Amino acid sequence: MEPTKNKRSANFNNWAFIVSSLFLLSLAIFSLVWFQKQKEAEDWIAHTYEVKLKIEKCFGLLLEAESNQRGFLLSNDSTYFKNINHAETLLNRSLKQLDSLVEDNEIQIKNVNTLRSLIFFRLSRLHILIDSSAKANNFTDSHLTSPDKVLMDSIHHQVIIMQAEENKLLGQRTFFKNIGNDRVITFIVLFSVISFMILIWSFFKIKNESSMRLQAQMELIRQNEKLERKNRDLTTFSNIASHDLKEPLRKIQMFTNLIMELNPDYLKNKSFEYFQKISQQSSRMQTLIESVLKYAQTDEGDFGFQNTNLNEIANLATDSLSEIIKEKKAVVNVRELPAIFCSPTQMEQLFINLVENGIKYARPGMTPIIEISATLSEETLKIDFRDNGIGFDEAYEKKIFEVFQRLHSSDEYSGTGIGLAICKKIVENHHGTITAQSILGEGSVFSVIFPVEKTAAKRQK
Amino acid sequence: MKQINRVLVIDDDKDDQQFLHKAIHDLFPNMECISLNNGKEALKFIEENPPPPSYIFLDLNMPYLNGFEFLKEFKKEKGNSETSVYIYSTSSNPRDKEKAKSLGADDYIVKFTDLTSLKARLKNVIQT
Repeated sequence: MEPTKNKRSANFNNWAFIVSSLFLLSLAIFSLVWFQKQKEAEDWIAHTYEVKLKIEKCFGLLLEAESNQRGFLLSNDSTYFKNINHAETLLNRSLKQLDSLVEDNEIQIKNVNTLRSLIFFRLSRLHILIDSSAKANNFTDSHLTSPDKVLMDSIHHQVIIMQAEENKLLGQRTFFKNIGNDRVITFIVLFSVISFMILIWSFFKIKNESSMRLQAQMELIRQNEKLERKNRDLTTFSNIASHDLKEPLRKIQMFTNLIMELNPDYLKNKSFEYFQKISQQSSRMQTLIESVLKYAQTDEGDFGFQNTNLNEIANLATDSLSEIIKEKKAVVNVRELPAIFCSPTQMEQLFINLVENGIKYARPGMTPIIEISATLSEETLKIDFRDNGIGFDEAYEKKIFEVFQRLHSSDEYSGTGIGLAICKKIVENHHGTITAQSILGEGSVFSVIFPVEKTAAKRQK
Repeated sequence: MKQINRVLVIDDDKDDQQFLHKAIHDLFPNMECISLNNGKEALKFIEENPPPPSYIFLDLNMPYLNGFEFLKEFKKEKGNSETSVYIYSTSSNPRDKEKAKSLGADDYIVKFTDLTSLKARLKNVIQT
């Protein structure tokens, strides 16, 4: 995964998180403000009802004063007079309360003032009538005079005007409250859904990113393993340098010294043998250096993977080995093999090494028979190289694939101890594994197993 | 157990066996010198042919049972404590020398390429 892509995706997640947080925060603030407003609207509605009640109360008190006046005029009972005074006091108080209740509303202030002057005018006329009746000391007509009736009507009219004004306000406020409700609920739901969607989106982004990170981590682990393997190889190489490659050189020195140290008589008899040894060791040194180089080059650079017919590879390998096959009279049977996606040069080397191995470690006096066959399953392709050679103790199964590990001295069987190590490296380059089963004295089977997914193995038509 | 005048040369390399054999035979003609190809063979020989030898020259890199593995097994046997074991290897790696010493080797000899030096060294380690 590229680092820039990684960074961009992290930025995306940060933004998604910030945006959804801001959405939720504004939603919270909005809801708070809205509930406040809602409460205020309710207060205003209650206020309107209170104003309406007060107006009615004022008018009611005036009517009460008027009826008491009528009673007083009829009976001259002072109780009525007291009642009038009481109603007047209450009326004054109510008007004052009304003043403070409507102080926010210009129209109603004017209306209250008009109402007040009308009421006061009516009250003053009421008092004049009572006074004159007391002076006259007789009962006058209790019916309202026509100017008073007109006055009362205009007061009533004023009350209706004021009620209408309050009703208008009430309508507005209720309407605002109801309309507001619907819109705000839609708004809150919409915002919640959007925030929720952003959160879900960022959740999946983060999940996706963490899986990508996991993949990157796995890749890192794989690279580390590869590095460790390289390191191990390097250590093996330093061992090789200090032992195996030094060995032939040491022998060359040893026999040269021997020739020089021995007395001339001995020299005559032995010198041919020692020179022979020197020559052998020199060529062995050359072989070793060549195979070490081959091993080192096995996992270098581009392998040139392509679709390859393994039967053709097997033919190429037997062609390369034709000399030793002829010499040992070996038989190589190749069964039907599939075509796979691999490096043809490396695959050929693998076939050469395994077939050569089978021929080289033949039982004395027996025709070496090597059989190559393939088994294709759902997940793996297994190629078996079966021989009828000397076999080996299975306890050394792991060891034989290591560099310079040999189970026999070079006097018994020639070899550098690198062939199978190269096979292992080639198989690993193809994401596969190599194993060996053997019965001592009966033969061995070297099995190469490739994952079908990586090699796209197909049954040959 | 009383030891006998016997030297075991444990080495998978036939040339080295012969080289050491020749040096020992030139210096100590009466010493019995037996060559074995690996640790496994040597353990079997020692078990079957008591008493244990006086000296062992032991190569490190051998198939089946290498020098270190042989040394570990050999030292387990109490009767073998009188035998002097000399590592005779091409490796001059200090880690190998340390490991050999810790496993109870008496000395560590890096393989020689000329008889004169080998004989000089052998005179120091073999007493008759």
